[in-house]
Amino acid sequence: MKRALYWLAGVWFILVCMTGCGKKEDPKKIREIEYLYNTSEDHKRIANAVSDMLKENLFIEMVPLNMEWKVYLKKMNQLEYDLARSGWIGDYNDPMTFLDLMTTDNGNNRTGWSNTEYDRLIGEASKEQDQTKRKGLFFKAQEILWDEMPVIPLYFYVSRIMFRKNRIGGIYPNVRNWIRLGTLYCKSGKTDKDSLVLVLGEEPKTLDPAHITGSIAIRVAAGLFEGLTVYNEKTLEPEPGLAESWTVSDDKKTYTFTLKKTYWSNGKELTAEDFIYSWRRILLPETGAEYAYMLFPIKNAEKFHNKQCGFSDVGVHAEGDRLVVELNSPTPYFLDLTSFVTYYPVNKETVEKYGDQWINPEHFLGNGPFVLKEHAMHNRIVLAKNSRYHTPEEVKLQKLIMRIIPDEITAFNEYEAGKADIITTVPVSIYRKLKGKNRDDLHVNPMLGIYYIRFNVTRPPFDSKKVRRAVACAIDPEFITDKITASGEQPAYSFVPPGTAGRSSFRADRIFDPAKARALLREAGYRVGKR
Amino acid sequence: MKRVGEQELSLKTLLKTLVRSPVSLVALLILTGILVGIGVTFVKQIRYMGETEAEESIFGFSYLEKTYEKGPPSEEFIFGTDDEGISVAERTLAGARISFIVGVVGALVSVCVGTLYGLISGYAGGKLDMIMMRFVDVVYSLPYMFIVIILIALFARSIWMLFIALGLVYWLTIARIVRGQVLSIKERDFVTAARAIGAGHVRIIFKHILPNLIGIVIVYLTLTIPRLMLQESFLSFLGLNVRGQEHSWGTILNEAVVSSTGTDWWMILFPGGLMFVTLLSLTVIGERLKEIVDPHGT
Amino acid sequence: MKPGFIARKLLYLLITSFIIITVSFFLMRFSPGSPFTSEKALSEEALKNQMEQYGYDKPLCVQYVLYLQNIVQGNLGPSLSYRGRTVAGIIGEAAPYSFALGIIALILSYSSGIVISMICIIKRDTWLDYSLLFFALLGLGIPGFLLAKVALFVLGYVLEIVPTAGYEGFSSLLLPGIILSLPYIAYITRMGRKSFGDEYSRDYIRTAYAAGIPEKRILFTQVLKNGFLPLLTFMGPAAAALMTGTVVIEKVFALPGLGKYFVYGALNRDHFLVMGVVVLYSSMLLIFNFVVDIMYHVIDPRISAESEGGRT
Repeated sequence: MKRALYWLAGVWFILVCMTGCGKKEDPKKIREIEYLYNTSEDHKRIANAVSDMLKENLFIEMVPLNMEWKVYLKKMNQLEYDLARSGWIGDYNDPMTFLDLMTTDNGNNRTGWSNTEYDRLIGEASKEQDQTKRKGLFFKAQEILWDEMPVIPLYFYVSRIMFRKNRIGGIYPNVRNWIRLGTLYCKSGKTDKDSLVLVLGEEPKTLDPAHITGSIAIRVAAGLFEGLTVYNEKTLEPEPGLAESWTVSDDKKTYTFTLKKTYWSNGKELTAEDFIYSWRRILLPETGAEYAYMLFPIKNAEKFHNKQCGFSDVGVHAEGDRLVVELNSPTPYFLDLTSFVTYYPVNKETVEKYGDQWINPEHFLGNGPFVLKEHAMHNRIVLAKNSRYHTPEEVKLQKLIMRIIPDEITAFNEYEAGKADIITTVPVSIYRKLKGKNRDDLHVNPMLGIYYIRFNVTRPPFDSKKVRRAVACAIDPEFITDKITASGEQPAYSFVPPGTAGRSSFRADRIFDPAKARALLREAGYRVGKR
Repeated sequence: MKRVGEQELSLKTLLKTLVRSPVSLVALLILTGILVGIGVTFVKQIRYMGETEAEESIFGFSYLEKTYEKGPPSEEFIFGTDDEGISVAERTLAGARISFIVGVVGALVSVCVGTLYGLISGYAGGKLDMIMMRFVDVVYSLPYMFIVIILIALFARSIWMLFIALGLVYWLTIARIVRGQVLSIKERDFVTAARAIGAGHVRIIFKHILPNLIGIVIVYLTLTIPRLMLQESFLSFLGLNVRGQEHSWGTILNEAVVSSTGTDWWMILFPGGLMFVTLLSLTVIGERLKEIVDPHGT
Repeated sequence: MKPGFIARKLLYLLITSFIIITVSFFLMRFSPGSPFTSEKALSEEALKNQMEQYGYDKPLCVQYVLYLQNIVQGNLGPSLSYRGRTVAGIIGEAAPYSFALGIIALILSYSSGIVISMICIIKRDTWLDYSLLFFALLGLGIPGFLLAKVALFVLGYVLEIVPTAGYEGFSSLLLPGIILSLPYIAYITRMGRKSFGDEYSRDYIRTAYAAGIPEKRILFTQVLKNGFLPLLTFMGPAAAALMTGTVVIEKVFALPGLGKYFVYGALNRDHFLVMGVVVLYSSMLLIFNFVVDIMYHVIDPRISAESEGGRT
């Protein structure tokens, strides 16, 4: 009996050592740091690489912690972390969508970093009409960002799509990773010429444009709705969608859209009032629309959302078949915004009649090239051609089947077996295999997105600029893009991806230098290493 | 171990019986080999700790070298390398360390809780016994996975959670079995005799009942460990990883399966094979011990 | 069979369900994380509205009572992560797949297990016996997801004899069902081997042989029937374990079953969804166990209804 107790005590002791309880704290050394990331294989590999780099170059112990999305967000919002992985895909084609992130008020900042000069520069840039001056402001802002380093940019995203060019037409890989579903068509070689199978990586959380924020849902919604403008994949410019033309006032603050005569999928006419209804719905705080801020360039939209004024003060009204929109200040990317999901129209009657259920197939009403025929959750979403689309002859497909296959390897296998025509993500492992083989059906394209590491600047040791810089000098983005992700990404030397319209020429120098990193850390007053 | 009742159980006898049968002998040798391998990993870590500037614990895995090149078996790496370029052979051994610790500790939790529960229930008898067993019946019919998912998903991601979650798996079965044993031991002559001479409850439990339980406890300990190792791999598969689980067999196999297109066979072969052999060996030994200790089954 | 027996078991069932629901409810509510955190930070106003919409502004006990009231009426609440969908709707759509899978696996494991163990009995101590036992043990040593992926790759993509991803009709459930059942075939084979084996060596069997009754009849009537009890007992926990096993298998084969909703719901703090799945699974299991209990009593009335925790 006593022997058993000794055994148990021994096991207990070992466990305690294992979990590291009881280690003495040395205030002169950097303590153990946590790196948070949301669960994913790719994030894990990067996290491990960063951890290794910090240990090797700075002798800092960094612990990667994975957690699911909601918990990760909570910790971000409440600034309960040391380092965290982060990413951002541009909502529109302008540096503002990226640089705006780091302003003090932006809810997606989540670093606790606040710099009045930076805020001022960005604020001015949002009103500046002159492109050259604007670029200058962006340049200065990035200088500050790079000097203070609340974030460490790692690399810019790439999109990887696979489809057989000789079988499918109408896809033009672009930096927005946008696929215009309405113009897809089959070329010769397919038995069933009227339908295609596209793979989605997960079940969209919702298909209601007011609540959509995820890229998967955006992709599906692009087939079901259409906004004032539509993004042209080839020219990367917005072109007429539901609006056949528009005029812009001299001060660039008023847009007058002349709408085409179009109909909802049940035959009812679509009017300018529909747009007003839809946008109001999103701005109403009760709706709880996460992307309400996308409508804030509209005059007084933000005030209305914060209940500081009535809707009649908001700068949007209908004049017959024209929709007039007034903005707070000149916004060069406004026509880009009007092609975005948050600006889609929804049908008032349907929404009011069926409430949250209106986007189920039996009640669904849309104005896009397709209608929602079937929605089997986690299985497939079937889109059928909308005969009442404003240019039905442009829509060549009768059916678009979107299969939901979360496992990327399985998705790839289905594609190889011919059971899927288009896949929109290719996992790193598969990419590596295909790299040497000259597959012309693998399309890799830079994307307007950035992967970066956030510091929590409110918590020591990262409240010190020097320490942040030391960490940044210990991490090598080139190693990560070369060896860890190794699928065509470019290391990031700015916070705005190349290819973004209106981007300044800012480009930082490569700062990876382990010796310098250690020197900086010592300068900041910490003991580095054992001695 | 004490001589109790009719059975005499000592480590020596147990080992002798195991060695006698060829199957369990092989199993024993395999397990010894793996334990030696685990010892080697500790040695390597200690050596690394001496060379590096960073502060390391002996339970870390920083000695693993990464080349970041995935490759099939070659001259340098007999079982190939994984995604991060770590030798599959090395990583599998590292995994053995974690999986064993997880399995053993989890099994200990299971066994301790279950034994305690069954002991109290069986010894007390009457109403308390009935209530306790009803409780077991209820919990037995709950889907275990859900409780575990709730525990890990909702609460901490620490390795203690993992031990608890795994410990919860088999404590019910053990509780039932122990209770059954206690019931039958309670009626035996030497217990009645002890009571007759006025021995207190505590003394009876510690001197007479517990020693008789050791046999069956060891058996189920041995049988539970492989099951828990399997459970751990399922949890890893579902994404419920905890800190410290980076190189467990479950994690390795999941990476092998997730990041392969079916042709990265080497990543599955050695870890999967070793895990399978280990599980099989433990099960074989456990079954053999069971035949000795409890041939008629409870 | 006393009506009191059934009534008691039913009461037991109800009380247990109640306990399970209560525990899950409070467990979910007290865990860290809220269903309302989102990527793009919500304004205070919007957050308050969201919470009101789902009744989260009321005190916890009130919410609990409301929830119970709703359950009794069959309303499992709205999903907090899938907009516009009710939990009952989601579960209703997904449950049939999981249950079909579970039933297939149950039938497979019992039928194969019994058949294999019978063969082992007849050919006792031959190499056939041992090798079958070994194969049965194999099912316990290999993690299911590993075997599933390998089998899927070989049989699905290379040889192309089974459907691959998603649900495309009944045949999509076969391979998953087989893989799911493997560990249980192992358990049942072992149990059967012991139970039937014990029965087989009993005196009355030998008497039957001596009396000249054909072997087949002995095996299938006496041995099978009398040795079946422990296997029947096992069905309850087996069903429970199978249900949890479906979570993993569904993930590998991309089947639209219930498992993922539970994991997803827990990870995303969709309280109603998780509760709904828990309620469903528990009630199914309890009902199943109830039926097993009745069958148990029918098969062998010698077992008194008073047996306390007698099942092992």
